[in-house]
Formats: sequence, C-alpha cells, structure tokens
Amino acid sequence: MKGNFKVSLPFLLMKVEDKVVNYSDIGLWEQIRRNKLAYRYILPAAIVMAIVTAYPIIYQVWMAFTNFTVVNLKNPHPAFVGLKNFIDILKNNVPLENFNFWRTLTFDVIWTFINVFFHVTIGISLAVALNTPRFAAKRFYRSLLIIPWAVPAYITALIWKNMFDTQFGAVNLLLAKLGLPHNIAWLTNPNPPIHFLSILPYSFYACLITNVWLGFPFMMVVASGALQSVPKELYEAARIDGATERQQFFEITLPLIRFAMTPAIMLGLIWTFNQFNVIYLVSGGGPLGETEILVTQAYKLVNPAGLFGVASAFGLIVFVILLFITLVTNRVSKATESVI
Amino acid sequence: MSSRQNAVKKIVVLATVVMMLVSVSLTGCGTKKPAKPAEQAKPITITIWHSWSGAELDVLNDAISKYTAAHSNVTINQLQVPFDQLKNKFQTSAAAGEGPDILVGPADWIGAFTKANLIAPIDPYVDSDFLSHYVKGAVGQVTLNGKMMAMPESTECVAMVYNKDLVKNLPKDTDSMITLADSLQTGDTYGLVYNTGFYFTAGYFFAAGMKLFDANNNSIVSQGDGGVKALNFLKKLSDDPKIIAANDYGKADSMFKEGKAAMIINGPWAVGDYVKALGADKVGVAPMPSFSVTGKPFAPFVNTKDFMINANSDDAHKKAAMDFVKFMTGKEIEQEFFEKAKHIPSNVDVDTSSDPIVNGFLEQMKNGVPMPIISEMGAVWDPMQTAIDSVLAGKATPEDAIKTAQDAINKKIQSTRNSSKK
Repeated sequence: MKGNFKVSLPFLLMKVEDKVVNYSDIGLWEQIRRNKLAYRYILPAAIVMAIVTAYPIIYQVWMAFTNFTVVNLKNPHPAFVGLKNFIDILKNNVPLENFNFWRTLTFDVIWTFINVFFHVTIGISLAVALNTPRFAAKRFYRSLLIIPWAVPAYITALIWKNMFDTQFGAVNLLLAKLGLPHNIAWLTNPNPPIHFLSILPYSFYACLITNVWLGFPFMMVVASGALQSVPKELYEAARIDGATERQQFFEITLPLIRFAMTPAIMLGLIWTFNQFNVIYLVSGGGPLGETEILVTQAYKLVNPAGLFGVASAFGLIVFVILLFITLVTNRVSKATESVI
Repeated sequence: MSSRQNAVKKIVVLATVVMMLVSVSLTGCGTKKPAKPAEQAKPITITIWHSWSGAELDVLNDAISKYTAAHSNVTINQLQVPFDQLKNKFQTSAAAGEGPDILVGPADWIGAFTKANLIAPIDPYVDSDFLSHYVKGAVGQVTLNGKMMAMPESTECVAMVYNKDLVKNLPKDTDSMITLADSLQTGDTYGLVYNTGFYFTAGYFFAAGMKLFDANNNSIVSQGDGGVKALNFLKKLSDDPKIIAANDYGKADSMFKEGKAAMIINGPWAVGDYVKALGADKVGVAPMPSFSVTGKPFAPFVNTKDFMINANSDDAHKKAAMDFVKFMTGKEIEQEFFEKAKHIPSNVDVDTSSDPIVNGFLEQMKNGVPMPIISEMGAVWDPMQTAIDSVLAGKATPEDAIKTAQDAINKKIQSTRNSSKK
C-alpha cells in the first residue's frame, strides 16, 4: 500500500500526458526517464530523507555486525564480528545486569496486550456512558476524563512512582485506611503477587495502573467520535424490534465503531509495546530487570553499558518483531487499507 | 477587558526587558573595571559539568562569578548533570570528540577515562611547589602510571549522619544499632534509613573480610565468606519492619531533612544541606558502628572528588580550564566549600580543626579503604548491586548471589579487555 503511494505523485502529474501507459510493463529507469520533472520535484526531500533517515539506519545495520563500543566513537574502526551480537543476545550472553532477551520479549507482549485490553474496554465504556442522551454535565465529565491525557506523561509517571512508595505512598496509605494488607513494596519486591502469573512482579501492576490511567482517554476520544456517526435510527428500530440495551450495544454499537477503533488499537499496541516513559520512570525496569521491556533494555545497552554494537543488533531484532506484529495486525484488520 | 489585559501584559514584558538590559549593562560595567588593559586576552569560554546541588552549587556559582569578575575575557558555563547520568554523558560525548573542558567526578572514573584517552594529564600545569599545598593521599589517588590525571577538590567517604534530637547515645556495633533503631521507630519516624547502594554498604563488606581484586585485577568477591556475612546482615536490616533499608538515596535524604530519620548513612557532600534544613546543632556525624559478626570497624571507600580535563580541549582551553581549576582548589574557594557545603578540603591551608561534622568524617576515614581507580573498578558496581538487591528481595541466597556477582564482574572485565585489545 505504501508502494502505491510513492508512485502516485508522479503518476498524477503525468496523467494528462499519457493516460494509457501501464507502468507495471516498463522498467524503473524508463519510468524515471519519462517522469523526469516529477522526480526533480521529489529530489530535495529525497536527499534530506537519505541524510537524516536512511544513513543512520544503514550505519546502525553496519554497527550491528561489529563490536562497536564507546571507544569506537572517536576511532570508528571496530572489528567485524559477523552474527556474534545477534547470537549473544538470543543466548543472553551480554555483559549487562539481568539481561534476558526471552523474558523481556514475553513480558513486553503480555504487557502490551493487557494494557490495550484495559485501554479499549475502559475507553469504550466511558464513551458510551458519555454518549447517553440528556446526560447532565456531559462536557464537565468529558474534560475531566481527558486530563490524564493532557498532563505530560512523564509527570504522571513520576507522580505514580511516588504514590507507590512503600512507607509513604498514597496507594499503601489508602490500603491501610481500608484495612487491607499494606506495606507492599510495589517497586522493589520481585516476587509475583499472583502465583501462577510468575513472570509479573508487583511493579508490573504498578506500571499497569499508571499506563491504564494514561492510555484510556485516547481510546475514549476515538470511541466517542465514532459513536457520533452511528445513526440514531438504528437504535430506534432496534427498540421497536424489542432488542435489549445489551443487544443494542453488541449488535449495533460495537460493529459500527469497529472500523474507527481498529487503527486506534493498532496504534495503541505499538505505542504500548514501546512505552518507554512509564516503565523507565515508574519501575526503571526493576526489580532485577523483571519489568524491562525491549525499548528500555535497548536504552540500557547503550547507557550505561555502552555496547553500541550489541544495542544496534538488539534494535534490529526489535524492528523485525514490530514488523511482524504490524503485518499480522494489518492482515487481520486491513486497517491501513481503509485509512488510505 | 482583554485589551486592558493585553496592555498590562505588554507593560510587564517591556519592564522585564528593560530590567534585563539594565542588569546586563551593569554587570558589563562591573566586569570591565578590574581587567587590566595589558591582559586583554582573547575571549574564551570554558564549560564545566558537575553533579553538585544545593549548597555545593551555590559555592560553585559564587566561585564562577568571582573568577569571571577578575578575568573578563573568560566565560564559564556550568551544567549540572544528575550523578547517575554524569559518567555516561561525559564518556559518550568525550569519546565523540566533544564534551566539557572540565568534569567534576570521583577518582574511580579516572582509570576508565585514562584508558579510553578521554582525559588529559595535568602535570604540565602543576609544579611541586603548588602540589605541596595538597593532601598527599589525595594527590596519590589521582596519579595513574606516574601521571597526575586530575586535581583533587575534596576527600569523601560515607559515615553515619544522625539527628542529635533523636539519638542520644551512639551505638557501638551493628547489633546495638538495630536495637536502637527499633526503639526509635514511631509512626512516620524511623530510627535507621539505610541506603543499600553498594557504595554505601561496601564498608560492611570489607569489615566482613571481602576483597575486590586479586593481583591480576580479577574479581575475588566470592572468596572467603565476607560477602555472605555482609549480605546476611543487610538482609536482616531489610527484613526488620522498623528499619527502612532500600537503594533509594532520595528517600533517606528527604526523610532526614524532615527530621523523620534518626540515623542515615551519607557523605560530606550532603551534610551542608542537612545543616541548612535542621540547624547545625542537630546534625551529628560519627563513624558507622562496627560489624558485630567480625568485630571489625566499618571500612568505607575513601575517594577524592576531582576536576578532570577533557583530552579533546585544545591547548588554550586546557590552560584556561586549569587556571580556573587552580582557583577552585585555592584556599579561598576550598574554605567556602568547607564552610558552606562541608566538603573535606584537599587543600591543607584550609583550617578544619574546629568543625565536629568534618571531624566525624575524618574519624571514619581512618578505617576506610582507598577506592581503586583502575578501570576494572567500573565493572564492580552493577553486579554487586544486583547481588544486594536479589538477596534483599529473597530471590537468591547470599552464597549464590555473591558467586553470580563475581562471575558477572569477571565477564565484564573480560569483555572490555577484549574490545580494547581488538
């Protein structure tokens, strides 16, 4: 789909001249020769893109196959090591504390899906509630619910981090007031509170609460936008046919907002998969690296470890994973097609 | 309504601009006077990166304004970087051929920076007459392979900082410290808020008999049972619900300032702010209690905080930077650092005899071990921290944790040796 978009500009420009040419029949060079003017228009942007995007990417791919470390920043002649960096990562053989690629990957996937599940369910529920006709103070509630989104994410994250403090945090104080078990070391206890979910320590739940708080307003906004476009007549007809509220929601509302929600969910998946702010600021990947996700791990490979070569290889692996997820969700949802 | 608001806004903006212009021109006048026309050197800008805050930062700013008043051609830009970011920030930018002219950091960075050729020796700028004003041990610590790689500003170690209102009798050993801490805990107030960072706990590891390196600079932390004994002790602290033992500097720091912590462990750099917050008569410093298991005294790392010169700076900048460093380590500014920020000066001309706080640290230093500055030291911190964290969390036995730490340290050392060999 992206490929189509790329050739569409010269195509539009040249349309008038040769309407009947089928571009798939002729070679690339011939295409360029015929549409010289169009390529000249693109050239400045292409040069800038080559410098700021393509060059760093190619450089990173090269670094991934070398033992590039801090020393090589001044003297960029690291030794070529072939696939060693990739093998080391997959075998967890990296000189960095608590590095475990497979655990991090599994955790990241679980983290992403649980988060997006809560974002979407809470977001849609609130949107439906706010969409109730003759609901008083609708605007007030809408603005109130957008606040988590309006506050910069890192400030929210730092506030939540303090709220999860063992002795003085608001969360434990509230639990104590309610007579529930308190003195929970949310951010430092590496043991799982739920035994069969052994990969998820307390700090996972702390990060989850923070990120759900941050993430639902976006889904709510998208959903309420979509709800506006659902024709009221459908509900009237349903009521006449005797459909319950529940049936109306599942048979009318959900199918009709699905097309608006799918691209938002895809975005949500990718954002959450790479949610650096919350993880880095709330749990810092700890305790003992148990809540590390791929991007925070990549960051730590550079700072403090200074393993630029390994970090590049790690980046490429993350890229392949994200590409795979995108292709699958794309195939399932056909989301990008409906957008373009 | 809105037009009036706009008018008010305009006036405010205008007034601010005028004030800024006036102040700029006034400071201009001020700086021009002392400069002698003969010394009208080329304008030069020196950058300094540090992690000083609070009272320390006040002294630095004061020193900069004093220095630039006397040297009108010099502009000094200071940048505060959080301590846990500073090493990497400097390492990355200096390795790329950039970075500040002056870096303020602890001596244990010297080994790695020298190996990577990031800092320049300062021998050409100092002579023996100048160095005779400085503590021998401090100068010795910054000397690597016969070259002086940094200029010591102050000497540091950690000791017990206590609130005199809450602690009447100092505990002699760790057992009595725990008893005392338990008895002091009421409500929000804790008897002991212990920082479990390796830098802060190292004193008990050494008191328990642990050694860091063998003769070939390979790690031997799991030899003997020193590491295990110390880890067991830390576990005991953290399991005690009446004691806070966490790797959380900010928490201990703010609790002490609020008077909610009776005893904490910290270094001279922080005490200036504690005196400001609680008053000089309430802040006490004493050696940490000795380790009950072995009966040996707490033996913290003793290291200097130093000025290092970036190897990338050209000769003119190096010279100007060293001139500023000499001013900073001169008697006037060192005296100020000592009085306001409780730094323990490396300059012997500063009179510190009367200060009980500094005496507390000096007393602790007698039992200290000098921080190794070899580059291998950089590999020790994270694995040792992981050992402490995993034992406190109940994820590993002390025996396994210290063994894992030694393996991790040696693996790190090996990987840097390989990469520098090429």
